[in-house]
Amino acid sequence: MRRYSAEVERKIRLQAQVRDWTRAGLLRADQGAALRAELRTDLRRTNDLLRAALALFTAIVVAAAVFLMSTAFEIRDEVTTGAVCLIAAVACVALAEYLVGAFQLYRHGIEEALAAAAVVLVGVGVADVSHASPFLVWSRVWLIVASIAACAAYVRFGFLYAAIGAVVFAAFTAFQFQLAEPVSRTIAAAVFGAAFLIARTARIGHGDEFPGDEYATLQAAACAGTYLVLNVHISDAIPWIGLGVPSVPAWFYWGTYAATWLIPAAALATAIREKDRALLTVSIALALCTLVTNKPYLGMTRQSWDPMILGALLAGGALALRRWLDAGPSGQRGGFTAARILARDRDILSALATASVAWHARAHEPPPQQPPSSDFAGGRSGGAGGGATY
Amino acid sequence: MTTLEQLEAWRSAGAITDDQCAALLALVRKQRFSVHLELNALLYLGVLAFGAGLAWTVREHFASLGDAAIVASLSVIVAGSLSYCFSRAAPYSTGQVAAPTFAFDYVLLLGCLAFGVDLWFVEFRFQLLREQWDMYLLASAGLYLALAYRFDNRLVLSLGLSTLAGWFGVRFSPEGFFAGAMRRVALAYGGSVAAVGVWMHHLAVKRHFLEAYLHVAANAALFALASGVIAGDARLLWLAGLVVVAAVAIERGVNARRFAFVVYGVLYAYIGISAEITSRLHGEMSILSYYVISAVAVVAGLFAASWVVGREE
Repeated sequence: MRRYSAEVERKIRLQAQVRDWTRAGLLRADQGAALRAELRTDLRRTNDLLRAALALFTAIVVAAAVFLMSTAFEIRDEVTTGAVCLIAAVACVALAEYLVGAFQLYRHGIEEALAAAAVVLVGVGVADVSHASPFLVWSRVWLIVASIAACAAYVRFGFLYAAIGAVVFAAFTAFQFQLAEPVSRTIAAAVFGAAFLIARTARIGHGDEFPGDEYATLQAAACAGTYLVLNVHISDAIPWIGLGVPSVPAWFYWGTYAATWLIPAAALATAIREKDRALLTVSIALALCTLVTNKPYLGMTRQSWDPMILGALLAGGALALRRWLDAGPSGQRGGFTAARILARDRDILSALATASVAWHARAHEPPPQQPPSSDFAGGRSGGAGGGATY
Repeated sequence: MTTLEQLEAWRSAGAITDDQCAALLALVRKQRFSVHLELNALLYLGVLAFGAGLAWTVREHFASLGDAAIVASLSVIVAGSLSYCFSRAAPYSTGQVAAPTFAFDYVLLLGCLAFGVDLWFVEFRFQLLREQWDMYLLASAGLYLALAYRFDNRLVLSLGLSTLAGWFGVRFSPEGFFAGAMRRVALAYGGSVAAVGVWMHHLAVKRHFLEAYLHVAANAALFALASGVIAGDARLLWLAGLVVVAAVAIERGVNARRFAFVVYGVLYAYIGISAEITSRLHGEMSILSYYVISAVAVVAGLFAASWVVGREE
């Protein structure tokens, strides 16, 4: 069923590990080169940035081609539009299959964008052909069909984001039935929870070897999904999603409050026990969301010094953990070490430092033109505050 | 064959030594698991959150806290941070220098953020420079860049470059760039940053900083040129400039195998060229046909580039 054999997938992952080990000095350069040559496959891969650009422009081609077809044939009615989308979806899948077969592409961007476009188009096609209306019904059909199609894309090509998309689409279907907010959120959380259990069971069966690494990522994504649909104050932590705080009954409100603490705690404990990096990253991010949304949950007013307390907590925690790990035998405790092993970590931190220009730039706002009177100028500091106004 | 089996096979075949095999097995079995990245991320987030809270508190509560208390507290943080860094830093070197302690880079960043808040507050309250308040930006950018070079700190280098952008008047948001005069300023900023980066590289001073300079310069210049094509006057002039700069970015990116620059060049050039061509086309059909043909051409070009120079083993 899968386009790429398990043996090839394992070789690709091992090749990446050998590259990391060589850069970290654990293997000599000549050893690394020899081992990578041994692991070479016929598949052709490309640099991640070129891959992203190829995916973007392929998506432009598909979108423009579909609109061009509709315009050229003056297609206005829903059924014909749906049929065009379905034909386009089939064409995308066929082209992706051809490119993978003819050019041995593996994560090359083009075949990925074609598969993703097919998922979107098949959803639109089925929703249009089935006269799904009003929009809520249309989106319901779209989400269900897209979820199945995305699942198929994962099974066929192994695109992990397609599997994550399939779970997200399935979970979001719950919000298209005009159900009460607690019911919608509970169903969505149950979908994510089921995905988590399935991924976890598969992960335990396979360990860290392929496809266990994929299930680990899926498990972490499902855990994040469960948390995000249950936290009703999530817009306080992630303002750009633009969601308001829904009106929910007290039992649900306080139940979700408990969940916002329990989910990150359980995920963190599991991640530490199993040394699961994906789950560790997600659980830390969720724990931060919980800290940020705690005050809004309790109805307390946010204070300007809250970020300072959070910052001190994070920095202090990181430093304390670092010291504690360093003080262990050979600089590690329970297998955890604060030392950098792979050069990849340094590359990520360098990229983060360069990208930080974008968010540091937001801090350079001019001071207001009309300042309130100064303590010094007004005499509040010294002179018994004689000149100050109140 | 699993990774563990493969390692054993390589050891048996003599491709790796027993010691290497043992070290790699410890990593694969997770008997040695590094949380270096996670701890750095937490520390960085902590410093950013602290800095943001500091700025917010100063803005909100300056009246109740009092000017002297605020200036003194911020100055203590700045002095403490700088004293920590100067007392622990290795001697200056023009090459790459590792941070002496885990917290070193972040303490310096905290000091710089507190310095920025301090300057902002002094100008806010006492209006010493009034219309020329942006000289604070120039001065602080100079200080940040000097500290970045002294302590080999990329975070502070980025802070310095963004502060310099503030002085130039550049805001890293589309609204800022689409405002007429801002484009020329952004172009001047991009050119200056690239020139300084290349010059320092030629002087062999912190050569590893060059890429950070070029990322910022390329984005500022290309964004300004593309926005000039979309909404500026003398659009053909902007277009010519965009094509030249994008071509240089692509050519240099391909040669140095720094594909981010190839992507910048392709993306900004496509946006600019498409804006110019579609403004001259009439009717949906011709515009959509243009997008199909042009995007196919870009995909073909990128595919060829990925085939020839961008292959991953």
